[in-house]
Amino acid sequence: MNRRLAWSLAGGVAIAGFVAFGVGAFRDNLTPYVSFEKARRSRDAVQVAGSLVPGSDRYDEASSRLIFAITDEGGDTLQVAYKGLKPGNFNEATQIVAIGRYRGDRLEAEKLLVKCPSKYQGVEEKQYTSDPS
Amino acid sequence: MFVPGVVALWAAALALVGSTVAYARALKGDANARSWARQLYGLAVFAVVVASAALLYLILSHDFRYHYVFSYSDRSLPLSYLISTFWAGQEGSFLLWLLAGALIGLPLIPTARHYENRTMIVYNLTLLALAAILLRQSPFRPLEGLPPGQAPFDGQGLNPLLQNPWMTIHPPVMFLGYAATAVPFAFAVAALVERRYDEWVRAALPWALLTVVTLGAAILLGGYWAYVTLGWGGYWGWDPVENSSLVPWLASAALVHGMLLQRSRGRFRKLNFSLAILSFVLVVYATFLTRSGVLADFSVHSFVDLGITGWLVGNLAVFTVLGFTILAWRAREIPTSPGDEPFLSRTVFFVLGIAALLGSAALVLLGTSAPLITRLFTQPAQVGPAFYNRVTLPIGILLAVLLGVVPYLQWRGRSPEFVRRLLLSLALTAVATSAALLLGARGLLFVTFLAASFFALLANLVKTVEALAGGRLRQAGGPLAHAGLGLMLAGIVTSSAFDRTEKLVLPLGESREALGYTFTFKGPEVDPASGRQAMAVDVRSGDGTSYVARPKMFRNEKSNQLVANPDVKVFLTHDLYVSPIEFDPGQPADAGAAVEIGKGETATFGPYTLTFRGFDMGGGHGGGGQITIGAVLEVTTDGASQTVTPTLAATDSGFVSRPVPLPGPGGATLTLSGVNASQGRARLVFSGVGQEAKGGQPMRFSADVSVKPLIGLLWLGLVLLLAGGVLALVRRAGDFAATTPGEPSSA
Repeated sequence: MNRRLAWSLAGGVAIAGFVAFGVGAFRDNLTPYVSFEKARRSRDAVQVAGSLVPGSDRYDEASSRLIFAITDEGGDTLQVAYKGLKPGNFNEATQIVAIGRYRGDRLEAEKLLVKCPSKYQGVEEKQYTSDPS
Repeated sequence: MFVPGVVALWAAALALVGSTVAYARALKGDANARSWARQLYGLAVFAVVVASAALLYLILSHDFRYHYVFSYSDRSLPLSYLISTFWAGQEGSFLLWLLAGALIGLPLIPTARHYENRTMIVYNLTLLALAAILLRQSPFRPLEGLPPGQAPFDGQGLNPLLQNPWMTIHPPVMFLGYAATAVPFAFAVAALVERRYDEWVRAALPWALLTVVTLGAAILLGGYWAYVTLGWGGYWGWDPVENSSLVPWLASAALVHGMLLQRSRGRFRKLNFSLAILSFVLVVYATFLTRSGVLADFSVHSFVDLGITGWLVGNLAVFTVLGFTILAWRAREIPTSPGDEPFLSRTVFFVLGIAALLGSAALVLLGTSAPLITRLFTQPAQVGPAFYNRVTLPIGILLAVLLGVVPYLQWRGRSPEFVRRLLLSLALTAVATSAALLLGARGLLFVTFLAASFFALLANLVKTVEALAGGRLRQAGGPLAHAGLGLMLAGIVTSSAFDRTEKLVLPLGESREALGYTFTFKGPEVDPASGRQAMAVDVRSGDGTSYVARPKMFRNEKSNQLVANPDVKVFLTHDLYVSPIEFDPGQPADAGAAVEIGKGETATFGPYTLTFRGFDMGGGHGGGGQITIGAVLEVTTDGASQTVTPTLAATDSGFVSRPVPLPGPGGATLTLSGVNASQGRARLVFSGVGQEAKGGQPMRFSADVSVKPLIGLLWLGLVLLLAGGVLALVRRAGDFAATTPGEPSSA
């Protein structure tokens, strides 16, 4: 019986530790969607969404970053710097989601999600060319 | 609607219903019912095959009147990619899943033995759930808004990122694995209802192994595809789509070990029922996550809600409730007995291993579900790769240590050679870890992980070699798979923790050194293999060997999407990974550097005298249908003459010039910038000649180059892991076939 008790105790402690560890890591790493204003004030990783300011994107070789600005529905504009490849249909995006931390005067993005007008929705009626055959 | 396809789908659904009803009657003792049930199942399989053939026919015959064909294919695709169009979209991939599931039933029926009636009732339900989705969201529906009697001339084409050989075979392998998870689920439910709690494990074990092998292979293919296609340098991004095949894989691996435990120890019955139900429910949950659009704001994959969310939630609810209710109903009467094995026994280590697998599955599931969980309390949020890396690292180390100790444990205790073998493995691990430290491995956590991986690898390698030397190939499956897993973990550590990356900006013709290599940008060219625009970069290593890296950068015409694929060169000790970032075509030099001449004419620029001999169409049609034109020119400088042929190629992504070097010092080049074929005139631009006009900027190419040490270990390890899985599958299927059936299977 002692042995069984010891096992149960060890198992219980291991599970409790594991849950605490998992939940702690989970809470630390959550990146909530926030407004630009909140992103500027936060020290933590956050997630913002906005539309690309046309023509604002450039590749800055000195810092080797893609720099661009996004604007939200209220007209607030946020500078974003991204160290990485310019995503495929970046310039056609309807919305860009940037995940990162605000540093200095811009959001240093670790990850970008580019949302495009779905290739397969709403464009069907216009995009084909008729063939009489 | 494409009528034959829709009729076939309805026929399949009705035949499945009929087969289910007939199996239910067979339970009541109707003598003929089972034979009816089997024939109806055969009919359902036939109908699913017909429906699949119908979709394939529409795709191959370019029938763009149908939404699916129009959306995912076009006339320019070669046969292999046309076939893979079948599973490029949601509807087609559900059909592929249904096809895999239907075919699995054929060998399942004759091997289900006395569980057949109940197993097939449950299994048919899982197939019906898929068929219902297809009837609701048909792959055969017509393109909307089409004027009667007209058809689009061409479709929108396949996403260029999916036009890759690895991506053509990844989905079929994956859906085979997904479909196979339904078999242990069906057996578990049947066994619970029949109160025969033990025999099902033998029957279902080969199927659980099939899931582990096929889902593992699919993860391997998908990871390798991401590595050679996407260009961010990795193979695993913890994206919801990736996680949703990883979690069922981890659960199925736990199930396999639980079944082995039950087979040998005659215990852990409830554990296996839970695991079998859980593995399947996780597949259904993953499908809900990735197909319903609930994660649309959180993933790079474009999820679109097709209006089947309700169905997916319904499936999830039905199968979760069905499985766990029956388990709860029987839970009290399932016999349990306490164990008395010492800590150092295979039994305890298997339990710990199962706990580690389930723990990591739970954490990955928690992370993937973050947007759903947080939505309940506050605004939706997600977790990034940092979360997954942090939580899986300690579990990985724990798992590797377990793997290293387990080969010399027996079910009830240590084997006689345990201490000697353990010391041998530890000594080998110490040697390997010291070697890694000498080679520059640093960082406590990484070196710990590396040492644990070496331990797992070496202990199991010794065991594998012993088994093979003793002629016991059949028993080598487990150790081989575990050695592969150790190798894979080692490869993950070396290639990610010790990866070195540099960003390079390469002006045309100039050399830059990085990571022990010299890179020289030679200009854009047409990749002969794919017919797409690539950036030619000459790479020279310290010992003088060289090759041309051709990372691709092209614009997909259909979607107007800029596509960049990296170039991966595999060396014995590392991969050299060149990933394109940006191509700057530069400012054309001013008119002074350009010369336009007709056939037979002569022009002079700087120290060079050019005579235009004529066009060379010999470049002809390369791959991909582009046309290449060369201008044959005789160049005279310093009294020496030579013939050069700069070329201009028309590709899908526009014109691509291939400059040629000019004789003499200074590295001058000559580019064919335009042709007027009807008048026989060519426009040529000099670069790098002393007199070049000011303000001209050479073209530039920016790339991330990285060295990934020993990443080959990862792929080799995964292949070994799968090979071990196949060995185990053959062994367990053979074991099962050799047992006497509890009841004749054929009525």
